[in-house]
Amino acid sequence: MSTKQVKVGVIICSCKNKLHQYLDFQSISKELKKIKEVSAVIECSDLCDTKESSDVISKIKKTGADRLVVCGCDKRVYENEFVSVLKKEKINEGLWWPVNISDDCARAVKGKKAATDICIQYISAAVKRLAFAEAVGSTSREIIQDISIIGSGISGMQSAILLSALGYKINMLFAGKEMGGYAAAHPDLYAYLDTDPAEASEKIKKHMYELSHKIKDDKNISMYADTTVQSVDGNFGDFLIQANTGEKEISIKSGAVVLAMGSQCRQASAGSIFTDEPNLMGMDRLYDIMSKGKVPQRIVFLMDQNREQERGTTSAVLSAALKLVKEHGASVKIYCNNVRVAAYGLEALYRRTRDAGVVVIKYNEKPKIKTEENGIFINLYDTITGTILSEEADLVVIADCEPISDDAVKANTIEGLRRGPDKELQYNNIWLLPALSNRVGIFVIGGAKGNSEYREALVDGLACAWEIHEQLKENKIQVYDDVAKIDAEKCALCLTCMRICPHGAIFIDHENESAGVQAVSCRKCGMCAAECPAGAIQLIRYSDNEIEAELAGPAKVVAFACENSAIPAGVSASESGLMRSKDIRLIRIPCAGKVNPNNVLAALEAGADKVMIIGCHPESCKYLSGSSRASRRMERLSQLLEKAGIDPLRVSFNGIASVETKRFEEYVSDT
Amino acid sequence: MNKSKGDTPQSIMIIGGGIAGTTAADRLGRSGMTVHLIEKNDAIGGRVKNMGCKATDKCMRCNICVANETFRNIINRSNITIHTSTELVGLQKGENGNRFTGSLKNGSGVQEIDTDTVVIAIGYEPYDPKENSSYKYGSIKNIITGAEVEKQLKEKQSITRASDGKEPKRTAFIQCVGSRTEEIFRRPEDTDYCSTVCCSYALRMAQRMKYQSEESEITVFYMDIQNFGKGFNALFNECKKNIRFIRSRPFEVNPLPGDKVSVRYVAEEALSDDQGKVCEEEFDLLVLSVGIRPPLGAVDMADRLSVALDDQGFFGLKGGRALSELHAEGIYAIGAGESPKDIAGSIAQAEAISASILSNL
Repeated sequence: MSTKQVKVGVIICSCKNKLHQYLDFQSISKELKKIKEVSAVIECSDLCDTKESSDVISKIKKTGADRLVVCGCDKRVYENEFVSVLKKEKINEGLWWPVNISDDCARAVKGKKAATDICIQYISAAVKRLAFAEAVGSTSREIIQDISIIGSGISGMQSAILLSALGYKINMLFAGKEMGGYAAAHPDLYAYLDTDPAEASEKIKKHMYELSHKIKDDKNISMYADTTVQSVDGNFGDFLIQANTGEKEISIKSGAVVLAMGSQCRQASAGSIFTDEPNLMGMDRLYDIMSKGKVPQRIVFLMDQNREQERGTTSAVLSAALKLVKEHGASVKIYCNNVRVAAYGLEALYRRTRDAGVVVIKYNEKPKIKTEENGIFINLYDTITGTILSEEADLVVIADCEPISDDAVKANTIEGLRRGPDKELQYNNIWLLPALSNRVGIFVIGGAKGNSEYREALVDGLACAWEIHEQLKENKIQVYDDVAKIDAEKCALCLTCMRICPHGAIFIDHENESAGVQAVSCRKCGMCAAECPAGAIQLIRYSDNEIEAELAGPAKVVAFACENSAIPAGVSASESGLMRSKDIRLIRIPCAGKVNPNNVLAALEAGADKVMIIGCHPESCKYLSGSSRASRRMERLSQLLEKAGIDPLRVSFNGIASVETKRFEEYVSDT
Repeated sequence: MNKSKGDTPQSIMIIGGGIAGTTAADRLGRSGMTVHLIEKNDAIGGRVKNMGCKATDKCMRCNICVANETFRNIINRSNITIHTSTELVGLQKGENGNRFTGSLKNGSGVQEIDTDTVVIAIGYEPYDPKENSSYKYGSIKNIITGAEVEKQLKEKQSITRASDGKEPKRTAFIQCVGSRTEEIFRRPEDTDYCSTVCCSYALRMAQRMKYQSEESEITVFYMDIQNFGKGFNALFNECKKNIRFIRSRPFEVNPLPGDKVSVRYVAEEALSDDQGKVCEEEFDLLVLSVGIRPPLGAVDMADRLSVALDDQGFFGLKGGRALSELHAEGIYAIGAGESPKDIAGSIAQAEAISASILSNL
């Protein structure tokens, strides 16, 4: 709690005098000076000019203020440069707060008088909240700069070579004896990558050979073949991998971990049905037979039996079919639902395959396989004649595969790693691009991401090198303590926070007998603070005290606005000339998931008729589950209000994307 | 030449301010490079600038917001210079210790800029259905392209008919217009590629239109639905519930009274009764899902920079070679001008070459 008298300075930028036409700067200044915490109000004309902002700050500091409310435009415009000025002027990073008087007041509210009044409300609220702000400290921490890559397919190899070129030491852990994944084992299947297929498989073979030799000769890269990873523990900058090399148990420390185990998708999954019937098989056994040279005449591929397959399956089937016809003289039919050619070279492969005489049948109803004494039959219901067409085959290949095999990786042992709907190792969220996982310092590339393809995997491998380099380039990092803070006294060790943290940042602090926060992994969404049943967690900059202080003052409609979606949508709305109700007040929050029911009730108590949370659409929440939590919380709260005889429609959750200006206008216009 | 790691910041010239170019600018800028971003239009944002968010009551994962965040991020950065309304007119061997000297032309004249690396990110050209007068595009008002629907969505956040400004009730999408097609005057290998992104954009748009008006009925004429991008199967499964899929390439469209459009097609599947028969249906709006073509200036650009184009006219590289060995020394190509790709793919590739550039310094 803030007991001592704080002094707050206010800077108001007129954006090169452009805001004067919308706002009455004199009366703003006059009103603000009445607030007892305010020690100075200074107008400037260009906050983006570092010299001017530096001058203004030193003037304000002379009045005894140690904290600043900065009123200007969208903080994304000036923040980078401004923060460096703050550092120079020795104002703590935790002790300033931005107010967007341009987009939330000047351009958003009709009439100079009304806009000026709103502006005064916004700034006063900011002064109140800033009185509770705490200085943010930081510590310098050493990190391990070595990198571990699990898997040795094209993505992992590319990543290793590039990271080594950037000066890092790499550990490559992989199953099997040879590197190169499927492309090295079956270069024929990747001939589609080149428009000259005659030479293509030789080229791929040579390329994979060169890459693996480059890695073998590279002193920066240590290889661990035949290795199974048992566990990955720790956090960014300090991971510990336990693995088994077949001969011994090893443990490897590294700063970042790259999951590149591939999709294992050529290993057909349907397992059991292949065992009894020798001529019914998955792709792997077909490759075996092909490599031995003796292949039966009539071959049928079945695809999309249990689920729509990915491009990897299509390319493997088309490539194998072409080879069977050209090199083994077989006659080949492919039954599938869709031919997936959405990658470089696949349409051409499809054309060549058809030109070679392979028949592709796109079925409506799944064909059935019947094994009889005299052979295997494929029965397909023909919709034209209404009869069942039966076709005999010497060999039937079920080409379907699961996107990710569970044995491929013991990723379940990676604490807090969230997987996608098909169990792929990357959670399906638009912000996790291209190789990011939900855990800081863990990256997912290539087939392990699901629905990948050679060229995409290759690009992933290189792209993750940039991301890793950005994070690991210094051997020391500044770790700021403006993260979630757990009060050990209040913590009941229920571990709700640990279960819900989308970034795996919570651990059990045995020393203090409470939950603890790994500052390097915390991404400051505040979801844990909102969910903690004991109220033991506060997020620095967004503590309950600060939020509730900001609620003081009259506002008919309070909108807790997520800074990843609603805040930028509001800015774009104002930029495109859309107006909003003068009754609405936005309260900036890091994530919809930060708002707990008490914050909402506090807003109602402070006099709001209506309280809403405007956050990302739940599927695109930057912190994965913040919006869906907020949405559920508001639903429950609304039911409770109804029971208490209060209009349930007074609280709501509203989803928005940062570019949806119209939707923003709908939410905040007069109703 | 001073090329030691971490020494003086290197200068990078990126041609094209679309999502690929701006992402590369952002990443290289963050890594401390001096970046010149050359954009021929008066604002950055490329094609994505004219695309709208397809969120219904949920996010459709079209990535438009991700791209817009990048556009905003690179403004006001001290080491990124954005040259709008500017074109690269020449590239010579560098004289001042840099690999190249580029000549940039804008309204006020020609300016020379030294650079070590050139990144080609000039984007794509949507297929123009007027080219082969496909589906009478241009002569029937209520036949529009996927790109035009995107523009409507972006500008008005709703989709209406060109003829009367009303919301269409029955809408049809025709997939693979200008993609996966053999053309008389071209060799098959020049045109037989899949534009990769059209299935996803059409299905997302279809969901957006269903959301806009519950009564709207949507039909998709397709050859194969392409499973492309993260989480596609989930989207496809959702679409199977409320959108009609007909595997057929319509062979004729005709104008009807009331500004409706008739579509004639041979049903390859659909209802069993219709199989193999010629069917005719009326629609209020017909959307041609046009594919991705090489950028218009590709040939000139390739000449100017002395790099080769692939068979289809993109800057793509054949085979298994890594992007780190791209084209010529110091020249990279990324984004949809390299090969058809979506926003996520362009971002990945921009990051990939950023790492390659850093490692080559």
